[in-house]
Formats: sequence, C-alpha cells, structure tokens
Amino acid sequence: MPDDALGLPYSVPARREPVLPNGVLGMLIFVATEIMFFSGLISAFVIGKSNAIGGWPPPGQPRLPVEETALNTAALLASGVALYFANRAFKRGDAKTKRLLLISIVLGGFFVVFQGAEWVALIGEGLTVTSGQLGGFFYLLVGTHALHVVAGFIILLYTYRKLLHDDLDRFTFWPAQVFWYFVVGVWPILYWQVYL
Amino acid sequence: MAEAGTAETHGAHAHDAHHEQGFWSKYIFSTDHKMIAMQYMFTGIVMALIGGYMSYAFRMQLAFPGQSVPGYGLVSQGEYNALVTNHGTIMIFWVAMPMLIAAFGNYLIPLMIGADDMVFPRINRLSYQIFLVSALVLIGSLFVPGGGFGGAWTAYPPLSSSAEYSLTPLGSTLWLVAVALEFVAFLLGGINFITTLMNARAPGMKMYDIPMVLWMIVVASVLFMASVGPLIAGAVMLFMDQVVGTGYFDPGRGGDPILWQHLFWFFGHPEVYVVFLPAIGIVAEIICTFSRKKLFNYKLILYTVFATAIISFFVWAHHQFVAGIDPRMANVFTITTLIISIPIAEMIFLYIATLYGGSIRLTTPMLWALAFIAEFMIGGITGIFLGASGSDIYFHDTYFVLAHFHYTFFPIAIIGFLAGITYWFPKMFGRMMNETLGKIHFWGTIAAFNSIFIPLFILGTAGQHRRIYNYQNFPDLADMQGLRVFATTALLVMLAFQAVFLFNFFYSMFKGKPAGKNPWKANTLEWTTTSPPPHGNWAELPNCYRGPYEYSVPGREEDYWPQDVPPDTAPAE
Amino acid sequence: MRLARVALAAAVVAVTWAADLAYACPSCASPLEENRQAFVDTTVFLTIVPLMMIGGFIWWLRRKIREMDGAPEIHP
Repeated sequence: MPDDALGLPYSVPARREPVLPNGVLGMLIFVATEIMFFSGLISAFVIGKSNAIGGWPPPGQPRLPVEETALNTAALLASGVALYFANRAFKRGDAKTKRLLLISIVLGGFFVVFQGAEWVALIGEGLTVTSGQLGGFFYLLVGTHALHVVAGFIILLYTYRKLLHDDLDRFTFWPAQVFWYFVVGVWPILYWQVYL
Repeated sequence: MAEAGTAETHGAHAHDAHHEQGFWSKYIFSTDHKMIAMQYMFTGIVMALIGGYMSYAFRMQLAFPGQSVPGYGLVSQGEYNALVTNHGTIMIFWVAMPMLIAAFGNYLIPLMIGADDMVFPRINRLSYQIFLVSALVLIGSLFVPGGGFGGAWTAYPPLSSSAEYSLTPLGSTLWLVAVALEFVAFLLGGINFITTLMNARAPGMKMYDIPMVLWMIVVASVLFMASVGPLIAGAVMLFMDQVVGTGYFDPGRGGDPILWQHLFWFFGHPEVYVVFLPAIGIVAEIICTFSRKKLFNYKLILYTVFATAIISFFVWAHHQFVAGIDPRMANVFTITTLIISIPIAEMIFLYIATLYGGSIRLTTPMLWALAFIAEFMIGGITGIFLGASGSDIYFHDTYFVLAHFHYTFFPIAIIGFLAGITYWFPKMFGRMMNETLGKIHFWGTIAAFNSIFIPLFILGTAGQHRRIYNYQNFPDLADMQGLRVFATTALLVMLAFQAVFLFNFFYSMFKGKPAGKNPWKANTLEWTTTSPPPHGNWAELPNCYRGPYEYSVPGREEDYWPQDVPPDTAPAE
Repeated sequence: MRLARVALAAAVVAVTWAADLAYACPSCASPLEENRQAFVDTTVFLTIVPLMMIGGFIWWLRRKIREMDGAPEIHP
C-alpha cells in the first residue's frame, strides 16, 4: 500500500481472506433459496394429502414403484459419496479424481434415465399430471427434482471437462459440489414424502 | 459518466472492462454496478409513472363513475379490475423492489464498503436483463386478447387459476410469468448483495463499521431469499393449473384454494419488511448526516433489525384471518403480529433519540426522512387494528386496509426513494438538485398524499369494501361520494406535483450546481471518491479506520470524520 | 385488593380461553381435522426451516471467524 511510503506510524489495514470464497457463498445462498422452494412444494403436498377424502394414496390410482425407486435412491446417494471421494482425491492431487468424478456423473445420469423409464411406465398405467391430486403432486415434486438433477449433471460434466483440460480449480469444483450435494440430499426427503 | 481515466492506476483489482466503452457496452450491457443501479432506477421510475397513471384512471372512475376519463377513455368493469391489479403489482414488484433494493443496493454496497464492483458483475447484469424482460412481459400482458389480469395482486385462486373465472386466459398467465421472472432477477441480485457485503469490504471495515443502510439492504435480501421459495413453488403450481389443467387449487378436484394463500403470504409478509428495511436504512444515513450526530446506539438498532427479520417469519397468517384458517393459528398470529410492532417502534424511537440535541439542517433529503418517520407511524398504528383478529374481521377488505397499507408502502416506496435520491443525487450525477423546487415538491406531495388516504380511512370504517367498480349501486355507500371525489382530486394534485420532481431531476442532472466530492460533509466511504465515481470507483481503493457515524467528535476541528482518514493524520486539536 | 386483581386476571384468561373454544371464526375453517392440522404443521415447518438455516449459518460463521482471529486485521 502506498500509504506506507508516507512513513506514518499507523498500522495499515490488511484485506482479510474471506471465510468462504465468493462462488461457494453465492451457491450456498442459492441452495438456501432452493431448500425453501422445496419446503414450499413439500408443504403444498402435505396439505394436498390432508384434503384427500378416503385416505392417501387415493384409491383406484396406480401404485408408485416403491422398491425400484429405492434402488434408484441408492444410486443417487452413491453418486454423492463418489463425488465426496473425488473431492478428497482432488485435494491430494490424486489421479483417481477423474475416475471418481466419472462414476459420480454416470450414477447421476443413471438416476435420470431410470426415472424417465419409471415415468413412461406410470403414464402407461394412466397416472398423468391431470389425472388427480396424486399424479399432479407426483409429477410436480419428482419432476422439479429431476430438473435439478439434470442441471447438476450438466454442471458436473462441465467440471469434468475442465478436469480433463487440467484447469479445474477448487473455486469451480467446490460450488459444483455444493449444488450436487443439495440435489442428492433433498431426494431422500422427497422419496420419504412421496413414495412411502 | 467519466471512466477509463483512472483505469491504469487502478492496479490489482482489475475487472473485465476498464477500457473505453462504446454506447452499447456502457449503457445497455454494462457490468458496472453504478450503471446497473441507474438502469434499475430509471426502469423503476418509468414503472412508477405507469402505475400512477393506472391509479389516475381507476380513481377517476370511482369519483365520476361511468364517465369517460380524460387521457384514458371509458373504464369498463374488466379494465377496472385489470387496472387495480396491475397498479398493485407494479407498485410493489416493479417500483418498490427495484428502486429501493436493487437500485440503492447496487449503487451503495460497493461504494460504501470501498469495493470496485460487485463480486459477480455478470450475474448482476443478467439480473437486470431478466428484470427488464419481466417488466416488458407485464406491460405486454395488458394488451393481449382478453386484457390484463384482474384478479387482484394477491391472485387468489380459483379466480386466478382458471380462465373460466378470470376471463383473461392469456393475461393471467403472462402476469404470473412476469412475477416469476422478476423473482429470479432479484434472486440473482440478492446473491450478489450478500456475497459482496461479506467478502469485499475495505480493509479494516469490521462488522460494526458497516453503514446501517447496507446492513438493512442485506438483511432484506436474506429475508427475500428465505421467503421467496414457497411463493415460487406456488407460482409453478398456479401456472400448471392455468396452462396444463391440473387442479392443485381447485376444490372441485380435491385441491385447496387456501393453499395458495398459505404459500403466497409466507412470502407476502416478509416482503413488507424486505422493502421496509432499505427505506428505513436510507433514513438512518440521512438523519445522522443532517443532525450531525452519531447514530444512537448502533448495535441496538442492528439487533432490532435482526429481531424484525426473525419475527417477520411468524406473522404472515394475519392476512388470512377471515380466509377460514384454524382459529388456533389466528390466536397465535394475532400475538406475533402485535409483537412485531415493538422492534419497529423501537427503531423509530432510536431515530428520534438520534435527532435529539443534534444541529438539524432541514434540507430536502432530511425533510423526506422525517416525513418517512411521521407517515410510517400512521401506517404502523393503523396496523394494530388489523393485526388483532377480532377487529380485522370487520376491517378486512375495506378501504381501511387499503389506506393502512398505502400509509406503509407510500412512505417506503415513494418517500424512501425520494429521500435516497435527493441525498445521493450529487454522488450519482455530480450535481446538486435545486432545493427550492425540492421543497415545493415535498410539501405538495406530502399534503396531497394525506388528503388522498385520510378520507379513505373514513370510508373504510364506514364499511366501504375494496375492489368495487361503482359504489353508486350500494345505497348505504352512495352518499359518501364527496369523500371519493376529494381523494381523487388530491391524487390529481399529487400526480401534478411529480412533474416538479421530474423537472428538477432532469434539469439538475445537466444544469445543476457542481457538487464536488462531499457536499453534505458525510463520513461514509462513497463520499471520498469523485462525483460521479469513475469506473472502478476509486483510483486507489480506500481503507477503513472507524465507524460510519463519527459526527461532532469532541476535540476535532471539523464536525465530521470520514471513515478513510487515518487516525494519526487527523488535525489534533 | 390483590385478590381482586388476580380474579380479574383469571377472568380475562378464562374469557380468552372460552373464545378460543367457541371457534369464533368468521368464515368457518375446513371440516377436516387433518387439513387444519396440516396447515398448522406446515406453518411451523415453513417458519422453522429458514430460521434454522440462517441461524445455523451465522453460528458456523461466528465459530469460523473466531478461529481465524489470528489473521491480520487492523483496528488502531
């Protein structure tokens, strides 16, 4: 600082290292808003359920595939775990990062594809978004989450591409992870609320 | 705006565009926080004029029912509903929010914390662009077949969820899309505000050295972020109901119309504090500068702000007392609603304590700041009647409610904005505004504003219901036409006085007296750079050595002590 | 004197209590108890979630800042 050049005897303030890098903080705030968004959807669903006369799920509607989705849930959680280990390897500068990140991405992709197949089957059974409260809320909640998974999937692909070109730094990787952990973490809650 | 000249000396904190800019990159696609603030401000002013014009049209219809309104034509029933709805929507979402949070937040945060720009300049630009699109969509929704949406700014279903009831198939959908886009814009802006304040402060600026207005803008942003999610969820569901044909809010198909109110007001009430906090923060800065006193108990005000923010999450169901909510909830929310008036009152008292014993200068910004306190108190006190669920049953949806929230929102959106713009105008444009014209505008606006809404309080207590096209059809209400004509006349006067402001604003921008760096002799960092600040804000970024309100410090020659003056170079006397 | 005051307070409490039990609702609430309960539950849920998030973040931040207090920082 040029103030020093004046030779004045006061201490020159130093710019402090931020507690969290800008990207991570911004992403955390965004994720907080997203959590509230999903809280709103879940609240709406709870109220929607409570209005059903004759119990929930409404009689005469197709059953949701609970067991198959459990497998899918496991796949998504495994993707989150893989990303966690990818980050640890990345911090060490380990070459395993690439493989772990790829596993995480593939599992995420598997989740989306599997869910798409599930949807096709359900639509075949007559559960559509306009067929009643069950269909409406099912596609709303799960569909919104699916959109987030796709967005996270694209973000992870982007980080993977950067990793291949060797210009991935933690200021890109860290926010991407925050988003993916959110996507992974909110799913069990939705599974519990919607399917069980 | 001058820029580029200081770019070379600017050093390490370079960001992308420090070279000479063309028209497009300078005014339209700028990433400079000051230019984005200007864009928000001018868009807000244009939207305010549109909203004011709408109020003119429907107030004329109420005062002189069935007659052609000069400059508009005959107001039909459907148009009346659309005008009322869009007046409310525009004034809250496209005037109060952009002018208070977005414009002042963008302008002040980097300048007051000694940063060269926001931490995410491109996201900031994107935020304005989305906001502009949302404004255009909203204006466009008024001209589609079927007309603009007319289901009130709260958009309660089933009226809003089905074209069968609202009769505006396209208008209501576009309205919803515009509101959703607007939220996305502020989401991006809010992320920027919070991150910038946390990470980009000048060296030496500690938590309690941050000017109060920034605290308030950032707390407001946090409130917005935390409350907007459920409303976006509700908006998605309403959109699905309108377009796809689901029945989330349709009781005939197992849905629940109250659910929308639940989600809407979860956002809707914190929203009041989202716009209130920046306005009262602006007032804090002005009061300190023009009474030459330290802000009375900075920390207590700050904790009061936090308390307000926390309690504001507990009050929202008071909008639904008569909507058929659980009476157990109505009891709880009555109590919390009355509790939230305590921190607000406390804040007002602390401001009055700041004024006490100061050497007060009644400049135009100071007049607006004092008017804010006075007028907002009327809004707050009438709110007590509405917060108590018993009296609310009578007052609900009458003109009493309408006058009450205009007594809160007008001070917030209009008085708060005018206080801020008259105070920071010298910094923004490098020239002083005309004080005489400013005072004429002030007294004209304040007198006319009270003349509009005091008659409406009287009408409301007499039982006049809101959102009615023509009161001549109601024998009990028809004979109070005199009060309606009076209120409409006052509105015309108030709108006419805004011409004085617009003239003063644009005249001073080009022909005003040059302001210099620090015309008000204020302490905060934005006054230490040239007016208007160059691109990058400072040739050399400032350091911070003390709190923002060190006025009239004993033992100093000058009665102010800017934040960036190192202690040992101070004239010691 | 004191007894009268206590009696008055008790009367006020009793009256408020009774008003609650009388369900003095202007436009009656949903007949479904589950629905009313769902509104109460989601009200609590929606209120708690943001406060927990913000509160947790601020708590974490304070701890972190305390840890970092060794970092260079002025205050003359």
